[in-house]
Amino acid sequence: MSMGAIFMAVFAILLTWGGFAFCLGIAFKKEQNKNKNKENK
Amino acid sequence: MDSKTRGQWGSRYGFILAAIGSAIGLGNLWRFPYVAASNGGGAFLIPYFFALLSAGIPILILEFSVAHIIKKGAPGCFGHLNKHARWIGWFQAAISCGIIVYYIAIVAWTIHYFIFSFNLSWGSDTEAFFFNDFLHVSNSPLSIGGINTGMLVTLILVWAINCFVIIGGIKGGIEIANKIFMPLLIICLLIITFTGITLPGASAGLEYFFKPNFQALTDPSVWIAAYGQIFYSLSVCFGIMITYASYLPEDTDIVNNGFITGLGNCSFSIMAGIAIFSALGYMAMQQGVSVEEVSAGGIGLAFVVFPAVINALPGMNSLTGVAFFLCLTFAGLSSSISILEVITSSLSEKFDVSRKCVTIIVSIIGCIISMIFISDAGLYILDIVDHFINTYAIALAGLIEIIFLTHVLKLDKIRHYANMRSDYTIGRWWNITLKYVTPILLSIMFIFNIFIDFTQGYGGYSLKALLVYGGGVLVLIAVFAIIFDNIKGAADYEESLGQGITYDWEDK
Repeated sequence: MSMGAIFMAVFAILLTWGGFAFCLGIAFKKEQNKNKNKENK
Repeated sequence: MDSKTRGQWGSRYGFILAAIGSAIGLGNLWRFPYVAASNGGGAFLIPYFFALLSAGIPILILEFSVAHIIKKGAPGCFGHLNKHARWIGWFQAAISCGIIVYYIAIVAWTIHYFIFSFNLSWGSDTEAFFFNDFLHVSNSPLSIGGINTGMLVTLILVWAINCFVIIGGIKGGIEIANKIFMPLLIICLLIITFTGITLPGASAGLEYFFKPNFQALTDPSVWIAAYGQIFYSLSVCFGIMITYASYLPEDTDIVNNGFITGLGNCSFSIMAGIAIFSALGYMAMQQGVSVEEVSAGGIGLAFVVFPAVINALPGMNSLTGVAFFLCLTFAGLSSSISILEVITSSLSEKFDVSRKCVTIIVSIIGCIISMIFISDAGLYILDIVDHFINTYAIALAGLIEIIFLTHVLKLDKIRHYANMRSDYTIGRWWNITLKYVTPILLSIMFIFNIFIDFTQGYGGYSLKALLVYGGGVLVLIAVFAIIFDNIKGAADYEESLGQGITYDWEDK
């Protein structure tokens, strides 16, 4: 594969899967905090 | 229907899975890779991501917010904002009716091919098998011929699965179905991807898919293709996301859910592109031709080219075939369920009739109409109907929805509402994309597609066939929308129309 194709592949995977994982991580953390707060109450 | 008795998602992940499941459809597997490769390869990803951020995700956030505030299906939402705008919602519900009848026929085909995969029943001439032996395609769209009785049982089965899931309700039906389908869909895609990238010649396929041709970025049609791909693939503007978001609980996130849904859909598309093109690279190497010569999109890729790729594999042929067609089946089912939900929720809300009763009636009528797509001319009719609904109906519905919502709603207030209940916030760029970028690009896309159709025709079909099926489906959609907009609904439903939004959230 050429350098251009490798760069675009990495760029696409990082942006989509990386972005997806990042947003899902934020959601997961928030849900965890929400559950903790419920347990504390 | 009383908002207190409305169904609700059991968890945030239930909603996210269902929304992503709805967005991921057959097009992610058979449309995106081909569109990307033939529109600049890797360079296409730049307008694609730009379209995602400037149109896809902003529309998702807008639909999630409006549905979360009003808590009604599409006709109810638009009618709540302005009682004269209820028809926009019915227009979207009518589009869903038009799509579901052929979409389920395709899911039935994928189930047949899943069974064929076990012993590679399609033989060596996959094209002849699909068109002649499997579909018994007639020589003209206007010679309908008979119903393919072998496919009838599968068609009824797919309608029954959809009906059963919708009757189960939001938490007990749709959420559970997506919690089963989505992990299986990902596992199947991982199997095809792993098989694909380990094949000799895969790098040539990936080179074809990812190699950037930056010259293509100066071509306006590449940008239109990118906006079209994002717009059609995210299930926005025909009621699905409005309906799904109306079942969100009060304490929920809006902005991050929009980003997760949009990015989840694109992640799947990229992965599907890697799987498809690495396999096509292998087949090109086997045949000693370029990847361009073997690449295809749409139904041809799924039912002709990919079975030929499966035949040519050095091992695990059946496993790869089973994984590929299961992947298509799960992607199709998760989308068809969401489309059926738009119709049943709209009707049950309006007439205050039980979900079970409406779903059974809609499924029986839908199943009867679907039979035309398993006739000898089914493939032609499906192709024409799909083209007309996508090019004209969905694009027009999207344009009307965006212009209406951005002019009726105070976007700053809606943004504030979304930000108040989100993991992170969005800025004024959201208003700008919705008010200017999206409507301008949708208008250009709509006019461009009409121009192409009028100057070049479509698919080599006769004008008569295009008018009968394409024009016919558009007329039926309009008639459906007008009829259901004008029939009097339940008293509670009619009273709730035209209330608008009061914007008193800061005080709560």
